[in-house]
Amino acid sequence: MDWALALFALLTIVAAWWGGKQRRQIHQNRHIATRYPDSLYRLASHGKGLWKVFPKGKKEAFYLATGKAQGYAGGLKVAVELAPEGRIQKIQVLSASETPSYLSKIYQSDYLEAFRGKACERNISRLAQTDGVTGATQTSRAIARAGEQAARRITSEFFPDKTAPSPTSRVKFGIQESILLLLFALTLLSWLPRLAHKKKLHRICLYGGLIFLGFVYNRPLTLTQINGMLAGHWPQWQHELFTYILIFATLIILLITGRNPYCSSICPFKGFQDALGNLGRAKTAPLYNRRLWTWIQRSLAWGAVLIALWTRNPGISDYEVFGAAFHLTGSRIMFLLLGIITIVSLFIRKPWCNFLCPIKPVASFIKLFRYKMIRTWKNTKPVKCSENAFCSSSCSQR
Amino acid sequence: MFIIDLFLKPVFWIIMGMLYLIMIYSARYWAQDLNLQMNWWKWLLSAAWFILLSLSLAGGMTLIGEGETQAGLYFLGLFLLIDIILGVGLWRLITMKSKKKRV
Repeated sequence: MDWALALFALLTIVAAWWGGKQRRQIHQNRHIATRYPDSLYRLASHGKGLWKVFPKGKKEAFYLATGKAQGYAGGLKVAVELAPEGRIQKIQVLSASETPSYLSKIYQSDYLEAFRGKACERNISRLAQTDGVTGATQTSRAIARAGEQAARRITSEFFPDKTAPSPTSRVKFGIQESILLLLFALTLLSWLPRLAHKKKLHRICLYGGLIFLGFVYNRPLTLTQINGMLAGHWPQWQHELFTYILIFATLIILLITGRNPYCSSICPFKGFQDALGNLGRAKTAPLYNRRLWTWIQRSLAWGAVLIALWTRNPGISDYEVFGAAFHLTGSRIMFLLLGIITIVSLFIRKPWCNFLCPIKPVASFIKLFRYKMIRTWKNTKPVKCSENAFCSSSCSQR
Repeated sequence: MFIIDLFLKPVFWIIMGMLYLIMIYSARYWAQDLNLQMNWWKWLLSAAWFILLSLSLAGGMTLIGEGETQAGLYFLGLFLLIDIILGVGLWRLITMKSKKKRV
């Protein structure tokens, strides 16, 4: 039964992925057509995502190009208008698959206005380092990177002498990545069978994850990140090495050992619930409804993946409370849910992990396929000659 | 408005004061009923927690009363959550010590 449903889930996910891809291709250029209608502008195309725009009733034309970059949860597409003298006159977000609360912080600030009047020779992505929006750092950086890409597209076509020098893509390996690797290493160490102080080591990992991945860096593993990658929004690995280590180390260890290192020892929200549970002497939830809750949990995760892939917007189906807990960012519903989870955690052990977290069903899904593959491989492995009557009579190697 | 200001507002605060007085006066009897072995620092922590709870309610309700409904709700939500967590911790602290003494 579980296997049949898992196959069904996989098929629907593939169908949603394909449907979303078709849908995106149809809608790709609609944004430009909506913002620059034929009644007001005449657009002369100079290649993919590049136009010279002639406003009707005005003498002076301007240049328009689009650029894309990866934000916190998904891709961002921006349009840059460049005046004939080579200065940015407008930058606007055309479409975004970003978590809505981060995007609304950008709109509430005057961040997009900071680009106005900047010369195209400058590496405008550096603006995000000085004028970036607090609490939406990755989103503001993504807008700046996409803006720079668009500006570069215009200058290389129309003002080759004004093209800004390409920024060097250095691999960003710092303290965050080191701590993450250390947490994975300690988790693996705590799994060793004959190790003394296993529990202490497990606690160190758990509370280390809570402090660093939670409160200090706010970078827990989320379904939104996984959905983003499935939808094709792969971040630049040089800048987002942390995300790649987090996802792929978890996946590789899960595939090799069959155990989920992230959920068992690193997840900051598990550490948060564990601390509250210890404070309130929380008990394990009664078992009579466990199966029902497991299926609700799986259905929620499945629905979130389908919506994200169909709409190609990973942020739209985000129901994780990590942003509200560690970054004080999220919708009212998220804060309400966080409040409920916090209070329940005082009395019931890990309610979020056991009943709502989407990462656990995803890991179980991968584990089920791993188990099936191992079983199939074992069944198809050639048996020894002595065990087979046919072999003993007709095998040429004997 | 004159009648409300002159009579009802003082009546409200008189009732509130009476309720607080009853609560403070009866606290030692609740502790006795619950077999809690209280001492001076436990009373001090309990009083601090109760003051924090009262201030949280007062602050939140004042904001709502002044028309800042959203701010009031956020204030209440955050501080009541903190009060609940601290209350559970305090309860555990009080009962943990008393259990040891009973053994």
